[in-house]
Formats: sequence, structure tokens, C-alpha cells
Amino acid sequence: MKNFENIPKKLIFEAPDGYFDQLPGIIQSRVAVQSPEDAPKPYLRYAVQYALPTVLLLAVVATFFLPRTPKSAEALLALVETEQLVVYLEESDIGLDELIEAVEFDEPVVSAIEDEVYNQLLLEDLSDDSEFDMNNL
Amino acid sequence: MDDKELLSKIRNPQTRNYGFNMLVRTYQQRVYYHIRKMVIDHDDADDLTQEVFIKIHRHITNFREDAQLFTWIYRIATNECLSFLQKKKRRFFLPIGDLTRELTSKVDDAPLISGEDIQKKLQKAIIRLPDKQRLVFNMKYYDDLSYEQMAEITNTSVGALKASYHHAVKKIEEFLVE
Repeated sequence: MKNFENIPKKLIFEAPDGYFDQLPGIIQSRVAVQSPEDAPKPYLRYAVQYALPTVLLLAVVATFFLPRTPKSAEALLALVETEQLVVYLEESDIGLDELIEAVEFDEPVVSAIEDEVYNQLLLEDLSDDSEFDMNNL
Repeated sequence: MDDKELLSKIRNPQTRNYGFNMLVRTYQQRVYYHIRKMVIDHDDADDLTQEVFIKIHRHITNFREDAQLFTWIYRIATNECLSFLQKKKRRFFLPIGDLTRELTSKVDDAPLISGEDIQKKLQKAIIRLPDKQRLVFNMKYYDDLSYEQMAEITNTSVGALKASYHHAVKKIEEFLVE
């Protein structure tokens, strides 16, 4: 058989009986379960982008620079405008890695950060053309 | 219901679920068989088909209509297939030949596969192609897509796709006479 076009064109794969009747319901139920929790949360992005470094910075400041202050870290935090802290962070040499090392996270915070990163990866994955570089086939 | 109507139903919060359900019903068979031809096994194709529609649901509100809905969906399905096959090779440290052997043996042994011996032989020859070439061959030969549609799905030039299909056909004909 040299010419494959002489072979009758027929797909040999079959789906189980009723598969396509059930599939929309299965997908709909999975989507319903995932939607509220997995939808990208814009507030979380701001939390990671601004609030987290702010809290970390304050923790570092409270730990290293104000050891004998009579005021608590919470009281100090209340005194500083978020915008000012963001500007300070952008201009300072303190890296996020250093800040992260200075603070211990509890489980829900770590989980929330991972969710956010994962959602971002999915978005990037979807627009990633690397799988389709077919010029070297 | 055409794609425009589907999209407008999905974008309306009141009819979002209904619109998405209609989208799944409209495209499920094309997505499933597109994936099944690549992964061969029904259970794998089922998992991936569900994942594709979940991704579609998650991202469809951001879908820009500068591409056809159908090519966008195909693109997601294609990406899922290629990622799955790559992960499979990486996870089990499989050389390419071993994955080919595994998929080939499924053509003989897995349930929900029928057809004459010559059609199975053709399928085994297709499996021996590199993944991306196999994908191009399937879209052209089985799905009857135009090169322009395939170019949109794969983000590749029409010329490259024509060359790829031509190579694939030559290789398949060689495999068939072995």
C-alpha cells in the first residue's frame, strides 16, 4: 500500500455510548465548583503587589529600627499612608526576597499567594505561543 | 446558534451558564476527537477535553474576536495536547520511541477503537510522526481544515504547514510499505 489516499478515510476512535450527552453536565458541574474560588481576584493581586511588601517592610522596620519604641507595630502601621510606603519601596534598595525572609507566613497566606501565582501562570500559558513554533517541523 | 450569539449569551451574566453549555454542546465532539487522535486513549482524551473547556470558561470573557471562536478553541485544545505529551515524556523519562510504542500498542489493545486493519495501520504510521507534524496531518487529513485556518490555530505560516503536511504524507507512505 504505497498511496495512503487509497485507504478509506475513517476515524477509528469511538466515544462510549452517551458520552457526549453527559459531558456538558460534567463540565458545568466542575465549572460551578471552581468558579467562585478560582476566578482571578483583583484585590489579591493588589494585596501581593502593594500590601504584602508594605506589611513586610513594617515588620522589618519594627524589628530592626524601632526595638525600643513604646508604640506597637500596628500603631506605627496606622500612622503611615500606604501610598507613601509604596513610593518608599519602589525607591529603596530592599529586595522582596529580603523582606520575605524576615517574615514568617501562616498557611492561608501562603496558599492565597500560590493561588494568585497559579492563576497568573494560566493566563500566561494561554497566550504563550512557544508550543506553536512550527517553523522547524 | 452561531458563535456571535454564543459569545453574547456567555458575556451576559443572566445567560452565561446557558451560553457556555451551548458552547460545550457545539464544540465538544470536535475538541474530543482532535485530542483523542493525539493521545489515543479515551480516558486521557476525556480528562483533557474537560480541562480545555474549563480553561475556555475561565478565559472566554477575555477572548478578543480578532480570531474565530472555533480556531481559538482548537488552539487551546492543541496546546493542551502538546503539553500533555511533553509532560508524559518528561514524567516517565520516556524516549520519543517509547511513547510512540505506548501509543501504538493502544491502537491494538485499548477499548473504543474499531476499524479495519489497514485503517489501524495508517493510524500507527501517523503516530510515528513527530507530535507537531502529526497534529498538522490530523487537522488537514481528518478535520479538513484549510491551511489558513491551521495557520491561525498554530500561529505558523501557510507555507510551513504545506511543507509539513507534504513531509508527513511522504513519511506515512514509507511507513506503510515497511
